[in-house]
Amino acid sequence: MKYATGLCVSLLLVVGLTAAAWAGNAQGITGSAHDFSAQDWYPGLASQREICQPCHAPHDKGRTTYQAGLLWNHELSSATYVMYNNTFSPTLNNTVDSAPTGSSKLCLSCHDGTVALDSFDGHAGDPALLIGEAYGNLKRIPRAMSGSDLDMRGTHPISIAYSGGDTGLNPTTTVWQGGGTIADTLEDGKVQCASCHDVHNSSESIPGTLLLRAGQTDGQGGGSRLCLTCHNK
Amino acid sequence: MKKFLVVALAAALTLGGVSLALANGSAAGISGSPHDFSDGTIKNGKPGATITDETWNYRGEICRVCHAPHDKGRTNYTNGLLWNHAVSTEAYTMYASETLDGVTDGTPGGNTKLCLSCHDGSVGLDTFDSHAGATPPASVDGGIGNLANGSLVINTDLQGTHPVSITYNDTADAGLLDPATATWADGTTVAATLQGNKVQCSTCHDVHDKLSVAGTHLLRTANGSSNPSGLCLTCHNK
Repeated sequence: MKYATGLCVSLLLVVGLTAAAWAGNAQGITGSAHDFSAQDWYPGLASQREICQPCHAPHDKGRTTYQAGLLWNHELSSATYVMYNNTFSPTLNNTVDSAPTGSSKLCLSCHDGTVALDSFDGHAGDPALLIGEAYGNLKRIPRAMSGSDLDMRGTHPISIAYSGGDTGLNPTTTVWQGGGTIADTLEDGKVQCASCHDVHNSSESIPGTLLLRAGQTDGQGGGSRLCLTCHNK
Repeated sequence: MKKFLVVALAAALTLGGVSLALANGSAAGISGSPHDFSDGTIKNGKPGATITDETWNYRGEICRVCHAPHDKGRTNYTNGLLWNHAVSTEAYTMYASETLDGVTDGTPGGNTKLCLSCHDGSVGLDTFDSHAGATPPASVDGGIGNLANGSLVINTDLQGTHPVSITYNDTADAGLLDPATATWADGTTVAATLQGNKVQCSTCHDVHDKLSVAGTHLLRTANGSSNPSGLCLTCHNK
């Protein structure tokens, strides 16, 4: 029992610290949750750790990883996914791609937990640096499996058209709390991870949140404001 | 443990070697720089390079590989600059992205065209003056200088390289800083390194190794741990 209590306290401390570290401050990429330039796991010489490089490179040297533009420099996941789609949810009106597309594919290249964080710039990744191993499974989306496929049905649909008959959605001219319209955060008219999350921790995200474009509590600007920006409930 | 240390040491040495080979600018000017082909020294050689000296520079001068004071009617003078090197005739796939607000030219322009006359891997390094090039393209460093694809094969896919010949549109793109006030390490404004308000290779790289930061790929601002991604963040408001 004593051991269990100690373990719980440790876990609480760890979770608490982790949560604090991951919350954004809307002050930009430097020092944000996605700035890995001070991490010991960053491959190569300590003097050559950069911020942008784990995700982007100005020249890809023929690796042709430039998925969705954005000069992508990180190895992509080759996992297959069970999508949150119309077959799964009868209330879904709009069309879902058969696999993650657009910048969501980039997010998943770390966050699906199958590709090591340090698999970039041609560097072979260390299995100990899968995101679940390095930062805990809470950072893994999705975690559940359906057969050999990663199960996306427990996460908000992505790679889904915003328009297409759903009357429960607000106009795309609706403005996020952090600035910019819904339309600005759709890609090719589709909802992707970046529609809700500002990966670069810019002034368009809300301080104290997980890089969200709108707050979720009264203290952050309104209860469930993120959800209600799009959903007319 | 001992084995691990040996492996780690070997890895560190290898990485150190590579970084020294690549981080090749000294910011001391064109003489002795990676673009000085007159001194016989390969500055950024790499295992597999097919050229091991600079005897291909048959005139033995520094500037002449790129510039000549008199073109003798060859009319190579692309973009002014008294250009003296054959330019590439390749067609390129230009960078495109949904999030791009600047306008990209249909084909590389400005002095990017001049850089590509060696760095796309299609034109022999020694194709200057009226000399017919015989040196295998971009092979001087085993292909690393071949920006299109990093190998000895010609590849004109520029989608994997930062957009060039693109307008710097900080009005439409809130993610870009004001070029009139954003400055590189030496104090030069970003605006001064645009050409006709367009980003070209020379916006980030100082080809003459004069205004660059020592130990970098002739970059105008360093990107390493002393100022992580400082080059990128000079323009990009992230």
